[in-house]
Amino acid sequence: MYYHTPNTSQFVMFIRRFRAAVIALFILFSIGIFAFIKPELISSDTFFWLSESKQFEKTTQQEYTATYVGRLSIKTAVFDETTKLQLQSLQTELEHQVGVEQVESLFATHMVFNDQTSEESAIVKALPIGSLSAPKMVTFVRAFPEPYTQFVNDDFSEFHFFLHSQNPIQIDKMNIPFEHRYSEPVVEAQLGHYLWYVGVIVLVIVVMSRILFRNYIAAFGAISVTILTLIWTFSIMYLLSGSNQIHIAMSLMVVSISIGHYLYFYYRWHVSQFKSDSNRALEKSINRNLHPAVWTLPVLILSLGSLLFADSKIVTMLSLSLMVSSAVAYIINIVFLPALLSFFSVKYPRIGFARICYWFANREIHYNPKILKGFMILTAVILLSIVTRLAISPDGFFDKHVSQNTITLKVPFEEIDLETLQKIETFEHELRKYNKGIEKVDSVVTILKRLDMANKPQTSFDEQRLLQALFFLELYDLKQAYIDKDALKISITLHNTDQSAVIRWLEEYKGLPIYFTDIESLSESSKMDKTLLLAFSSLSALLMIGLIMGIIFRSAKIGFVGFVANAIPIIWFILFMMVCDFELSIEALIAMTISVGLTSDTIIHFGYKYFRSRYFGRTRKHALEIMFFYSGVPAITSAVVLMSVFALLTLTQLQSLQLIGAYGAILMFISLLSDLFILPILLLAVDKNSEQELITRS
Amino acid sequence: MIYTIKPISSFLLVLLSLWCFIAIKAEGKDLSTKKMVALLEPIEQHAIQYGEGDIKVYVFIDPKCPHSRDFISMIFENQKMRTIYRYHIYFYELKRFNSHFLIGAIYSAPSPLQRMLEVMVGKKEITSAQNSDVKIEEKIDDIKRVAEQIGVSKRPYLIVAKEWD
Repeated sequence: MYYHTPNTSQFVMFIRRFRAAVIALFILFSIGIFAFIKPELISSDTFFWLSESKQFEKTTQQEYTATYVGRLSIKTAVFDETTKLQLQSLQTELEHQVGVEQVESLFATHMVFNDQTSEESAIVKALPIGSLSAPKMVTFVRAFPEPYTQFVNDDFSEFHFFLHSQNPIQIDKMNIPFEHRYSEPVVEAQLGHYLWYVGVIVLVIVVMSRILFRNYIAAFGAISVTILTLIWTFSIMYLLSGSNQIHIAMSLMVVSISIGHYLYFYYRWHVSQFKSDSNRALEKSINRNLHPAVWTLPVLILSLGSLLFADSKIVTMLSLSLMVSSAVAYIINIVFLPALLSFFSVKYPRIGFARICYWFANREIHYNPKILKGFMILTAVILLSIVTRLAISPDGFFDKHVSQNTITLKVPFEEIDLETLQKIETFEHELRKYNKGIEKVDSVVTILKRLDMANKPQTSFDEQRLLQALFFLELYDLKQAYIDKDALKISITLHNTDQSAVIRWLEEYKGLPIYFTDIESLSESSKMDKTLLLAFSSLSALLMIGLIMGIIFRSAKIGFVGFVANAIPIIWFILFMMVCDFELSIEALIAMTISVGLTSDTIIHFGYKYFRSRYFGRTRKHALEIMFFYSGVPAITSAVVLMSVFALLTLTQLQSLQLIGAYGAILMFISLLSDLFILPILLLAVDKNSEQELITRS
Repeated sequence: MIYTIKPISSFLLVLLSLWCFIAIKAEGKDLSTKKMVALLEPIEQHAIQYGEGDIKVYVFIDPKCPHSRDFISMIFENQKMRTIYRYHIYFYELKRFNSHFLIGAIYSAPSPLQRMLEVMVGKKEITSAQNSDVKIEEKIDDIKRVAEQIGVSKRPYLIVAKEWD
């Protein structure tokens, strides 16, 4: 129970006696398992999601290759003959990049027209539009803009090139003589990304160590503990799952948990040296944190345990990262860390910043119950509206709004006949009817109709007209862009719409056998499968945390506090997402899962300190001061450190890491506010024991 | 009784008419390519054959028409288009080009295909006799008759037959 103080003096003495051996053992063992497992960093976010995509499996079974679709936007001051030639050269250069299969742009399109000298003497022609002079190009495109709108704007100042490639293209290595922007949704992580990621974490830890603790010991300890936690966690996960692949999100979870745990142990050792020597401080660090730290384990395991049985390796690995790292960090902090810290003592044990704790305690002891009640009612109303919206339109909740995007599909065929064309036309019609923001659907039907209409037909569309259009398609070598060996290519351009809704509609469409062939849609479809699962698991995790906390503290009220304190940041974060019209993406849910892990730790440490102090007869105010001093400071520090790390991650080029970073930083900020302003008041609210009763018991 | 039967019989009559219309329309559409090919088959020996593909393309051209020349040049330059399609080329004069005797000269050459390419792709000027062989005239007339039946309105005029035609 929280009022027991475990006797750890023998244990600490043992660790101090064999400290060199303990450190050596940990380091050698870690090097050994690291060499044995050879963890493999997943360089592409895409492979992580594609490995479980049902749509990707379907596409590869059909032996279709999936491609990356990137958009290069070029801005030009003026469009003249020189600019035209430069853009044409760029088109050729892009086409010759390794792995590029197709480059769609104005300079790859054809001008389809009826070349005639009289009514009797005429032929359908399809000339590359680039063969026209610059002024004629402008005139032609303005006269017939429809096929070219996605490639150039009205005043010919912005051109778009769509690159379909087997690998992500490194546009920054090309020499493009124009102002340009390249938007490729998925890129592979380079060594630079990892170095940036590691550099950010190390920098933030060192800065924190210098500012808060005025030494480098805290940084040295944090980095050592984090490295060991990472190695041990992924080794255990390898033994459990047989997979040595590590996604950057998994490592982020481990780092967060490790730093969160570490700070409670280190901080106690640091501040205890104000009154005691470093050895006694070491003992306090262990015996004051042993219980609350161990309680975080069942909370995490039971709350996220259900995710282990999810039919998804990705979700299992993510939840396993949190659970295993929590257990590993615990062992490292009670065995390795004391051995390491026993070599040091601190010069400045005083933490000036800790004074703020007394301010918080003084203010919050006189909380206004009416305001608390009002806040709780407001939060409940928000929760109710979220649940209602989730029940009415669960899909709409996870919208993925895109300003401009391309979905590419393949449809197997045996023969291009009237029936096939009719099916594609019906598909296009229904796609536009049931989905918003479909800017353009480009398929073999589009080009065949253009060729047919250029022939100025006088009869209704029949087989002969189709055969003639197919003839011209072959004659002008336009087939490659629309027809593969045994599949028709369909390209859908989206504009300001919910991409996930379109993908869902396409997945459920029965009129044609559809295969997604662009990596982003395939990866998005896989993420969509996991989103709902992770959302419901996070919700059930909140309930479980409340239940377990109730059991630990033997109080239903504290169980309720556990649930509410964890739920408040999530509820307000979802409200923030709704207000800002951000979709509840898988990245947001990963950030939520990390936050649940960290907040549950904070609640346990706060609850432990507060009720322990109350048990030993401290007044409510004094208990609050002790809670803030011993648990509040490490909680604030870890939140600030992780907020900084997550915020700096938004500067990377990996999109999913950017999103996890942004959402994580916001969520941690909301959690910190809740931990500082709401959680202590909730603890005061459920603590109805009179001062006298506690004094008598003590 | 009559009040019941009359509407029913009228309704059935409308249904029957509708069915006939749909059936005729479907039949007509199906026959269109087939019928044209059926008309062309008896004069296939008059055609200049070019290409080795499986799909037959019947082409009506005028040797002086610039677009017919464009078309033949494109076929000449495009080996792939000659391996996919087999062209049956018929000369059908456009009055304003006055190419009747040039057509006769091409047909009367030892290799009409070679001569046609020289004239239409190589832009070779050839002297054409002012009166042709009777057999060649008959050939030109046969082509003209079929072209009129089909309704060939411009040059080049294409009829693409499916592989099984």
